[in-house]
Amino acid sequence: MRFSFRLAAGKRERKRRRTVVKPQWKISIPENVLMEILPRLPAKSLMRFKCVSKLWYSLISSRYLTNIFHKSSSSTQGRRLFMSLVDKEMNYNYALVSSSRDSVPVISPYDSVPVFDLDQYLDMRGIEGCFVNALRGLVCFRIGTRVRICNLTTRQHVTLPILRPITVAKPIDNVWNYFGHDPVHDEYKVFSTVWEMSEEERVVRSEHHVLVLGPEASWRNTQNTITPPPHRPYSQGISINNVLYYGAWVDKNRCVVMSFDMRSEEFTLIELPLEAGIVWNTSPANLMNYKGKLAVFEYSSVLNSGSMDLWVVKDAGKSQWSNKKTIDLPIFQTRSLAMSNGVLIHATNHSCEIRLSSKEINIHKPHSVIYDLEKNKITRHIQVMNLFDSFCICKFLDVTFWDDIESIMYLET
Amino acid sequence: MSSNKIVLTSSDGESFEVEEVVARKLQIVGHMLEDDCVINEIPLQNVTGDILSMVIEYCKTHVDEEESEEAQTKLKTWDEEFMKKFDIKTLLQIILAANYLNVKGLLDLVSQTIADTIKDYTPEQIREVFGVENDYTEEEEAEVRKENAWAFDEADTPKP
Repeated sequence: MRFSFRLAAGKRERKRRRTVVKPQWKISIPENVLMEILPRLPAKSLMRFKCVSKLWYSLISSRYLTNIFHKSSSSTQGRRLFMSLVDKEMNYNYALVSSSRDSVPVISPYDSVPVFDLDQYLDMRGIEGCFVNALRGLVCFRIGTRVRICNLTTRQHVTLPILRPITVAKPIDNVWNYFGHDPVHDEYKVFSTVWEMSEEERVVRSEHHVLVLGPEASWRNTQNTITPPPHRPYSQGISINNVLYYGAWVDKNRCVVMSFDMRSEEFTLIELPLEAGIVWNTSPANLMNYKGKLAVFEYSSVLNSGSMDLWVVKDAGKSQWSNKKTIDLPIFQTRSLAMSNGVLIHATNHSCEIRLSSKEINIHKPHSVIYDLEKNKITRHIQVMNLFDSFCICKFLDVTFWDDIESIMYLET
Repeated sequence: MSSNKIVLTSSDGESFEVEEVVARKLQIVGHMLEDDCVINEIPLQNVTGDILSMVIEYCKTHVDEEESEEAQTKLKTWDEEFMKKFDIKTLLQIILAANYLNVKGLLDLVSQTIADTIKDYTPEQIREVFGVENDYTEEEEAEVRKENAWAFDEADTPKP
């Protein structure tokens, strides 16, 4: 009772102060001058200053400031490393870890390579479900059939509307997404594919939709002029020059690469190099960005030969690939990889860069090596110390690694 | 180097005689000189004498920007020391002057100094210093605060 009275009195006092006391200091800072100052502030200060006034709120939330902030933080800040870990069998068993903001890596005494510790658990409201991908400070998740976008800096998240396919029945498990950005129109697009399988395990139909982030965003059909064959995506998606590539299954035992132009929304089917003999669900194979071009690699003999085979696309439209390149990997230089029963190789979000990790889960020291194919050397060791005990019993851990900068992007709904 | 002198007059009637090369650092003056070469006295309506004198001090120091690394480091140190002299309110007056007189280097320097100074301010302090009226209702303000609650926390590190 007394408390509520005090609160009320406090309110009254504040009101009086606001109206009666006039500040003696008078200055008026025009918007263009404010715009010189604001991009130089840390994200945390900016989020706090949204409370200053409605004008400050709208300036700070504007796409204009978001883009200046993005540019200036790209040039001044170090990129933060992230890893998402998901138990494939139990999606709710999930962790998102990162390096600390101003981390200075330890240099490994064995090979003089920096060792990054991902010791920051991002325990944030709204982060759950299946990790899709990350882009420009934003992270995309899928929870059931719904897609959620989170800003890891401002901790804001939005859940996108439910997608209701017309021809595909029961898409609960058969959903695949990718989150991309079209720099020309400065649009953030979520791409979604749903498919239906026949009893003979054939893809009978698929539907493709996009949603452009913004106020009252909704799903619409992709605006392609040529309908792609029914397909189901079957690999990580990678984006090169605004085109998304993903491994897909077009028909029973027929594996291809599909590309989707994030701007024109046209699909292209690219046949895989025949000699690679890639079957997406069984081959140890993946896609990557090789010097700005799409490449596929196959690494079934990595533990015997310490190498992998790679093909670079020459003409995507004609499904023309380069000759096979055999690339030596630092398997035998790295104890944890050489000793392991299996090695996994994934592309990172940079050209010519891959992540090698051991197949089995060592809960006490999950470790990855980042390898640069162009420089021909290990550029980073990534460590996750003291993982949650909940991963102890996990058999299939899905790990995604990326590095990113901060964003103050305001997610409108 | 031209030894031509130019007189700059502030809004409160204070006059400063400076060399033309210094005056040209103020782009607003540079443009006037290009339009008509015979001007030698320029009135500057939007800046007071005390602020103008600081802008001139900056321009004098930066008049011949050498490329050498040593000179650059020296200038940088001077910039830092120069900025230390001012409180936030003076800095805001300087940024307005740098914007009006169009002195790019000074505008960048002061913007960064202001950002570094205010980054830990509360919204109340910002309103006071920037002369902003709070146009939120209490409910609206509480809502925005709630939306960005983490930005009001002291510590930023999420717990392991």
